[in-house]
Amino acid sequence: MIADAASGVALALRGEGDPYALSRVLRQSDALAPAAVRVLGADALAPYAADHHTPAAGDEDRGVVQAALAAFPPGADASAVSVWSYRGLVEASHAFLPGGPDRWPQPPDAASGWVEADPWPRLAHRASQLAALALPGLSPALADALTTRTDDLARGFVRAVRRRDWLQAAGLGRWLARLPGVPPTLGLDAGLAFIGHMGGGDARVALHLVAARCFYGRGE
Amino acid sequence: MSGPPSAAADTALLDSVATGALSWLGAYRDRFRLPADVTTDADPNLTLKPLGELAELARLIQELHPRADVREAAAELFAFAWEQFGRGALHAELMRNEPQAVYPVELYGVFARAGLRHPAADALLTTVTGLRRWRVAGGDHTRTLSVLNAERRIGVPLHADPGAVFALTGLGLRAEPWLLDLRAAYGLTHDVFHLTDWGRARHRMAAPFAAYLRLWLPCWLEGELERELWDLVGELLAVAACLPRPWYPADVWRRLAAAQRPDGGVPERSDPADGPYRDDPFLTCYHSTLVTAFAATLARVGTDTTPDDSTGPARATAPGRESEAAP
Amino acid sequence: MSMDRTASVESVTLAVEVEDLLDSTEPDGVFRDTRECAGAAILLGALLASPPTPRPKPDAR
Repeated sequence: MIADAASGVALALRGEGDPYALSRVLRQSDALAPAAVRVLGADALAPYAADHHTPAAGDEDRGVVQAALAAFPPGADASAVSVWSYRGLVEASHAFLPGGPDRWPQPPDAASGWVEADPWPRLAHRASQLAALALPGLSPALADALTTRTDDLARGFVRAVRRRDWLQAAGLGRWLARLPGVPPTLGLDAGLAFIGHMGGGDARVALHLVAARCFYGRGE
Repeated sequence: MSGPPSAAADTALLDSVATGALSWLGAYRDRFRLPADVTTDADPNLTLKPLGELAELARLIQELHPRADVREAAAELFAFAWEQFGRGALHAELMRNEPQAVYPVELYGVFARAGLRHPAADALLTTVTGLRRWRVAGGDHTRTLSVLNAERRIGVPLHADPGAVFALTGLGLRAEPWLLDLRAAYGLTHDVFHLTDWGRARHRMAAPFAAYLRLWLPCWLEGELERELWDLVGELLAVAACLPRPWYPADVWRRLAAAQRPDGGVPERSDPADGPYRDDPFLTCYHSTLVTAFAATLARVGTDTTPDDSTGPARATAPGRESEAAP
Repeated sequence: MSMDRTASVESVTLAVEVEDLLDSTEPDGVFRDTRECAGAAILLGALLASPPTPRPKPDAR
């Protein structure tokens, strides 16, 4: 189901298929729809951030997201990734869904000490899990913090490609597409293309690659 | 120049690793002995190559290691290798038998660099390296760098422009770092070794290449640690020590030291059942053990000569965070 | 991506599964190497990359 939803989002970002509506990809009546939205995070709304012919989100989309936010709030012992992902979905709701700020919860505070403190392999893994936040305008403070460790994210990209962890590699490539100062010797565009050939069959991998191209023009 | 100042080298650990490795090499010295059929039926990869590696790396350790006892142990191994080569007579015979081959000349270069020569070999060299065929000596570009280094050592004219050859190597191209597989990794480490004459001439590495290596070495090392390919870990540590400003990744050195066995041998990989020659402790260990002694020597020298400044480039991550093992 | 329409949608289980999907552990690394000249590279480290030179037959000496 998550794979289907990810494919739907990717299709919309490519500007293909029917005009995107989250409420059609994930019907509110489906018991698992809120869980899928929570896992996709901000990416559930990514097509609304794209320039091309996505109609504005409607009330039904809002309902799906509200159900997800209500059903799966991060608990007291939730991981930093879970809190950040939730925060990304809230931020994207503010940005792309109808209704004033009062319709949506305030974005929760999310711990960011790990961005500075993590050894690079762990940092890279976490960042890749938060690749849905690599959308225009989303979580600028996190993006700024990650900018201080662009080299380490690039190292994580290299490590992930070499060990054929395509999902992590694609997520990191998507962040690197957003961040300034990526080392030129990384070969990011060729790397993204390579991941597409090797791991593009995974819908979530494909989604990250499409987002990197659609929003940041990388991996062409 | 590249990268942040690295952690201070742990000289006690480096010396323990190097002396352990040399003690293993001494104990297995007779396994480097050449068989009677070395010029005919014996597999050169199991005879001349191990002995050539022993000579190349023992000589470097003999020249550079700060401790006299280590230099002395290495000098004995190097002298043994020269004797095994018949003080150059075998080089001459190999050149006569295989004038098309570059390896006899490369092997001779190891000793010529140390001032050891043989008249018949010298006479043959002029002929062999003067052939038109020799202008394409080497085959791939990394190997050609090796031949050029041998020519430089022996004092015959260089058959090609080293800069142009280097530009076509994996390092010269600064190849996509995520594409580095086993074969490319060995090519890259040897690009560095030939370029810098095995770490003796670190200044020959221009800044863009040093920066490239400093940037990507941590993630390459991480992969080889995960695979527990200890010879490649050792080669990459040697590369780190060949940088104009050497880099000492303390955690990687600790992992390599932990992989060293009590007798000083370092296995190719932790699980010997993984590799060929798994029943033979010499064949599974000699290369990694030599490489480890070599890397430990270069790392030791690097710490003695590194200027204590921190005027690194802007592109830097804080020391201590990078290159730690994955959780 | 183990979620399945037929699975129990009992909310606690689902919440745990969502957390696991969000914060998943790394898969084991899989390394692939070119098979080109694998024999020379794997054991011998290409220090003197194996010379593919013709060697004389024993009776040719």
